[in-house]
Amino acid sequence: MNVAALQQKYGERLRQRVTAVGQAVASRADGASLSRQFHSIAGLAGTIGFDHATAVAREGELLAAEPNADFDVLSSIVGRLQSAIEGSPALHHAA
Amino acid sequence: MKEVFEIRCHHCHAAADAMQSDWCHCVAKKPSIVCARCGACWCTAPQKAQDAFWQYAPGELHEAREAVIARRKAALRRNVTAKKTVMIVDDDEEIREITAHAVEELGYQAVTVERADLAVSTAMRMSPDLVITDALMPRLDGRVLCGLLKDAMPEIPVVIMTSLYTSLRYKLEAYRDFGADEYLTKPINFAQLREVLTTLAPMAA
Repeated sequence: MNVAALQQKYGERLRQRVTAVGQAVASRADGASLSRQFHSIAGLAGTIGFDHATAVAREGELLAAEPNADFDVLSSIVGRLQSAIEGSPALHHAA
Repeated sequence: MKEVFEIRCHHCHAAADAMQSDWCHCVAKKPSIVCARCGACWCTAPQKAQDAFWQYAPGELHEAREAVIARRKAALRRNVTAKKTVMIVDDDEEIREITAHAVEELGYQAVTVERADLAVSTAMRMSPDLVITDALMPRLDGRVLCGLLKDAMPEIPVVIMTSLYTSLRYKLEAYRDFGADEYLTKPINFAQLREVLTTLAPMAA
């Protein structure tokens, strides 16, 4: 599998998922749904080689699953997720 | 007028026309005719009787036998060269696409299923050589799906691939309680995937 090609093909869809979870956090969606969104981001990010983004998304997944999760922290996780994807050397390599 | 070659079964002694008989599927020998009454095949008769049978058998029966051999050889060649099919069950569209792509790059045919609750019927229809399923899906847990598949088609290897249950306990449960043949963790490790495919669904050399 050519990881660079995967990143080129799926990088945009990963960004869209991060945007969507950011909107869900802003609208204070329920924890289970948020956890699921972070989970899918972690799975896709890891599969296409965004390892740091995977680790950050995992944090979001676990935190969102907790009762009374802190939305400010979740929001900061979304921000870190965006930075992890945009700042990934893999993405620049793919582009 | 069609030729008749009347024989008596060496086992039950029923009379039959050899020209109208079915052919056996004995693996080690050339195909021979089967008794319509008791199912005994002529290749299990004493060697002397077999020799006599084929010595006196009309040319048409010899030709029919050669045609059966040729057909079976061709079918065998088709089976050996046909691509093996891997069914991928995952509710995540991108993961389905990427896994299917990886599987196809390794020379397999990929079939994707989005919903776990439809996977058993699809598997029964398509008879895949291997199933790879995600664990966490909205309608049905992949491990439960694995158990259902194992009940319905125990001969098909099932691989659970997930980022959710990474602990040893979950792996042991997947093997012991749900009969998984292999357990892979996400993100997909393509080298690991190749190893699993070549072990559980090896391609003909």
